[in-house]
Amino acid sequence: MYIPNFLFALALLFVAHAETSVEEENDENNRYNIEGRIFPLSDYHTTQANWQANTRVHVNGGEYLGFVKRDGSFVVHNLPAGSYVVEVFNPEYTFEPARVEINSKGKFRARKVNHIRTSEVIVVPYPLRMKALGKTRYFQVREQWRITDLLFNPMVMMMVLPLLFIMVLPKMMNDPDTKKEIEQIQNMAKFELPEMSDMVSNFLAGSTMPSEKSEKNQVSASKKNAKTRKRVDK
Amino acid sequence: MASFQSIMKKYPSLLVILLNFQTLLALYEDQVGKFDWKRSFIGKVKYAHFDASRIIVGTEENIIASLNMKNGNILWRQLMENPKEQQLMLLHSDRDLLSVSGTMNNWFVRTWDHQTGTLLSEWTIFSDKNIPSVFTVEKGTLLHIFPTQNSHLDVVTYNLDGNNQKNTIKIPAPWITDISNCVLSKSYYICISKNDISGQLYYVNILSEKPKVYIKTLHSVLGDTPDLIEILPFEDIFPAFLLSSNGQAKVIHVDEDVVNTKIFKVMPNAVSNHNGEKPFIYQLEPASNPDKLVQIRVKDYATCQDEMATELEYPVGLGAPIIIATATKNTLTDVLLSTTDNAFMLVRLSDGKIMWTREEALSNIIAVEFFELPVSELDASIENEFKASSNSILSMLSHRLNTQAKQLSTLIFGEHPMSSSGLVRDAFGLHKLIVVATSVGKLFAIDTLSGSIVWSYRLPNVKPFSILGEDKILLFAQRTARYAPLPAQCILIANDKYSGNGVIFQFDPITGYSQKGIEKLNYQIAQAIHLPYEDDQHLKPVLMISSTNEVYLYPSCAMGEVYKYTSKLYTYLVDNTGSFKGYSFIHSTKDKLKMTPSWELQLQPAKLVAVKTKHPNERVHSQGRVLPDRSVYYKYVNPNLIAVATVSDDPVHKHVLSVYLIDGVTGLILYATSHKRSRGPIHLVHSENWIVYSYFNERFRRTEFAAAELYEGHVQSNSSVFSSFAVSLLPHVQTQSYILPATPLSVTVTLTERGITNKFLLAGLSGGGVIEIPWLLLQPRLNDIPCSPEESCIPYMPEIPLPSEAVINYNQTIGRIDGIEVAPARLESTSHILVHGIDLFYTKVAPSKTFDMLKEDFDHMMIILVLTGLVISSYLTKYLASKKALKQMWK
Repeated sequence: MYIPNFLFALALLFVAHAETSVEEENDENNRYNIEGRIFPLSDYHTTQANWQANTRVHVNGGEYLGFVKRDGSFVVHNLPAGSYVVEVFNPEYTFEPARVEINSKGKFRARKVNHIRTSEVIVVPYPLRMKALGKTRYFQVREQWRITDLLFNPMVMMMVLPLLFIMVLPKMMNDPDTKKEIEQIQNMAKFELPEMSDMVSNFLAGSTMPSEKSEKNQVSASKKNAKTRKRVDK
Repeated sequence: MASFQSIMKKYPSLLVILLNFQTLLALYEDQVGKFDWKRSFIGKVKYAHFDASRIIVGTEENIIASLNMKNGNILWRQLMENPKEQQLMLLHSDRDLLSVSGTMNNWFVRTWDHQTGTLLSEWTIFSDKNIPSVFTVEKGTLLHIFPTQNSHLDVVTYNLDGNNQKNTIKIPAPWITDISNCVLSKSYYICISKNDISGQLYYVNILSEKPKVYIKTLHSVLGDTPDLIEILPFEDIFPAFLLSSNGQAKVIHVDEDVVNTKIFKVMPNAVSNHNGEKPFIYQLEPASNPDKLVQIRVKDYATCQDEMATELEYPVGLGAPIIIATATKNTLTDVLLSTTDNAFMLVRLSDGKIMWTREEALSNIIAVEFFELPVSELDASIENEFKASSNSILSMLSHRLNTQAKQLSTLIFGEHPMSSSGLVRDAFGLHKLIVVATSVGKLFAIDTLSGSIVWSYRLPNVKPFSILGEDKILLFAQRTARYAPLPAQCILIANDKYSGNGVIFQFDPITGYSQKGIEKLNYQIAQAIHLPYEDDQHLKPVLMISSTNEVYLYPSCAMGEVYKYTSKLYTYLVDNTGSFKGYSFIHSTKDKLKMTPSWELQLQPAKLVAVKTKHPNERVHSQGRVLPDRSVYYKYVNPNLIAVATVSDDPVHKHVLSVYLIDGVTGLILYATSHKRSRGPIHLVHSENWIVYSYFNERFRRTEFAAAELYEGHVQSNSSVFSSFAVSLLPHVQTQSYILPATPLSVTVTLTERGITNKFLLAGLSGGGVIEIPWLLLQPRLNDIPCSPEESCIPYMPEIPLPSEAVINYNQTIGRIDGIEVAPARLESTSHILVHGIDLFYTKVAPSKTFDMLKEDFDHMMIILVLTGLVISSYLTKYLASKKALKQMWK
């Protein structure tokens, strides 16, 4: 649900810019306005027809309010100099809060909210650019019952496999045809699998005489075949 | 949320534990609306305008909203600033909707889109004059008028065509004697100098080039009348007002020099309607038909003739109405009424049918009590059979026969009407009735299953108490519905609006029936205590202490019962100055209870901000906490403990928050702490052996939670009985504090029947969500003992995670949360929750999941299939085995 916000990484570059360019002062009683803009996610328009009316801007937990205009911009009016936490609430989307500091000269600085290390300053651009972090997940996904879940359950597998061995294998052993077949399969398997020692020796020999490798392989394979045939005959 | 993320980055090892923890709590999407409901409100309507198929309203809660004309549902709603500080001053509906709201010297002018409620423009007005002022919109300009008594009028005009050009004029007006004798109509400011016939009428057109003051004698306008004369505003398309005397009013038009008195008389509540074919005047009157309460009289505006009178189907429970707005479309006229008990309704003329009613009193709930429903009649009669009251065999036999006959009759003729209405107790106590008292003095009973209003009762002239700056009405459940055939009984205690004396209203919470009605007391109430003892009628008496420290008992016949316990009875009184006094009842006699002061505590100059005792129904299941070495650390569970928080101003630290834990019997301070540079709002929660409080830390500019837990130690002094007097050692106190990355508006703790279930804190946040925080996250970690998941201990984290899955009201934002009320269900795992603010939200929470109930998604089908499959296969194999055995034998 958290989309990494590259905006803030970029923001560091704009520190000087933000501090000097955005300076606004109301002549009346030294009251200031916090300005910003909310950037909706691309799927806003499909789900929420008028997200602007459903989105609220709270400063210091609702002490001051801002309403969102059609273009997504907002202004919070009439704030004395101080430090404010700006939060954006929408029933469907989560936004990251920002702290805006207005000094007595009317200079603005916006930074990330960090409650643990309160002195740490990661500057974000001002006027604020509030971007939805993502859709808020209020619900747990219900686990659905699927037959595969049951079958691939380790307990079930542990039960089914021994059952197979107990029930099926003895029957197969009784049947003469299958017996033959098994033997054949085993022969086949042995035929195809080269022996480990051969492989090693081949490898060692192959490093010196790569051209003879295939020949040797064939020889060793035929040797092995002979061995296994003997074994079967026994 | 973001901070949660940052914590996760720092402490990745916690992730696993937390995930385990949090995923347990969330709701499934298909559970939405299954056991929760939300009702939305807007507050008492102040302004209303018709706009196509919508109604635009502005309310005393500083809210503007748009309602659907067909059913009164909210289409959109915008909550503006806190109504305690700022009020809506003007709502003007033109091409756009214009609202002016603010304080005495600071206003917001906002324009809104009719259709969606989106803000179009916003600017502020600031003034250094601290006098009441009025706003009006006339000819595309916003007029802001400051009347200064006996001196002049300051008029500031603002152009509304975008550039908000400002223009100030000053009109000398030494004739303004009293602002209540002045009205503003269109661009005319009109005053009368005296309230009788010798007075003069002054008026001035503010918008004219050179404002000229016209003076007329009231005698020349009204003729001779001996009564007091009042000036009232009148909505009209011309500058007009009403002069009312003796309950009758005359419409007066002014236009420059001409004063035109309409010859007909109207009621002071009359309004005019010009948007039909013919203009009319509407007024409300008491109905001539004794069966109906109210009628609307329609008068022709031009000829002043009575056109018709329509009797309304006015419901009995509502207060007196006034007309807020009217509109005519084709032949139908819609009239919007607002009543003294904050209801808002649409009446359609000419048949006088009430199309819909909104009970806006519910937007301001100040007391809540949950009630169990009575058992069905059949169950009640069965229960009666096992009572010892009938001891002779004959009477028992007759009783049995009687019950069986009744059972038979219900079987044949169907259920009793009472039970068919659905208000019958269910097996788990999940169906309850919520009785709420509102600030206007109207009582409602709400069904927890559907959220519908079961009954309502209006208490006229009732005023709430003001306790620590909050409005409160007391509701006590004297008898629950358990004792059939005795009805449940509840008592409401409030103040009389005029005398300030106490008022008692006793009623049956299930039906709303009151035997005695409102009983007025002849003393002021300082304290009311709900005693835990039952008398022979199973009534729990209520003790009331008057402001002169006299003690009264309700019902007074319970005296004999209460006298038995006077040696164990203690109470405390708090006054606004911050003095805390404890009293005992030792010197009471058999016929008079008497309070004896036992201790006193002065908290001045600190300001008392919170006093909390434990919930009287709370039970502590576990006596101690098991430590990793399998020893028990015993809890200090003192039922007499009072938690108190004060805030004092300090020259160095700005504000200092102090928290005390005081034994209510002895006055002993068991624990005291202070937080420098901390201020309110303080939310204090007190439960079992711990307290949690939230405050704002000014130094770090963040909201913090602090938890304190009391322990007796490794030895329990007395495991069966607790006595406040048997103090040998002070309890050990464990404390810890946390950061809450949000602003809480209300905090409470869950409550279950037996206290076995884990505790959750429920915090209503400023964003409109109610979040559950497990107590385990806040419980102070013991210093020298390692914290591991096996010990169900989560390592300390400075910031409390607030995952969105823990929001119990998911996307159903609740406006301006005011309080969260909790009640146990009979199912141990479950608590009922009612969140009230502008909206009302009810749900159930299960802090330890529903361990005592099958899960909703329990697969009954699967179990049945597997079992039947097993049975069938076992029989099949038995049959096959026998067949095989037979074959074998034949071989």
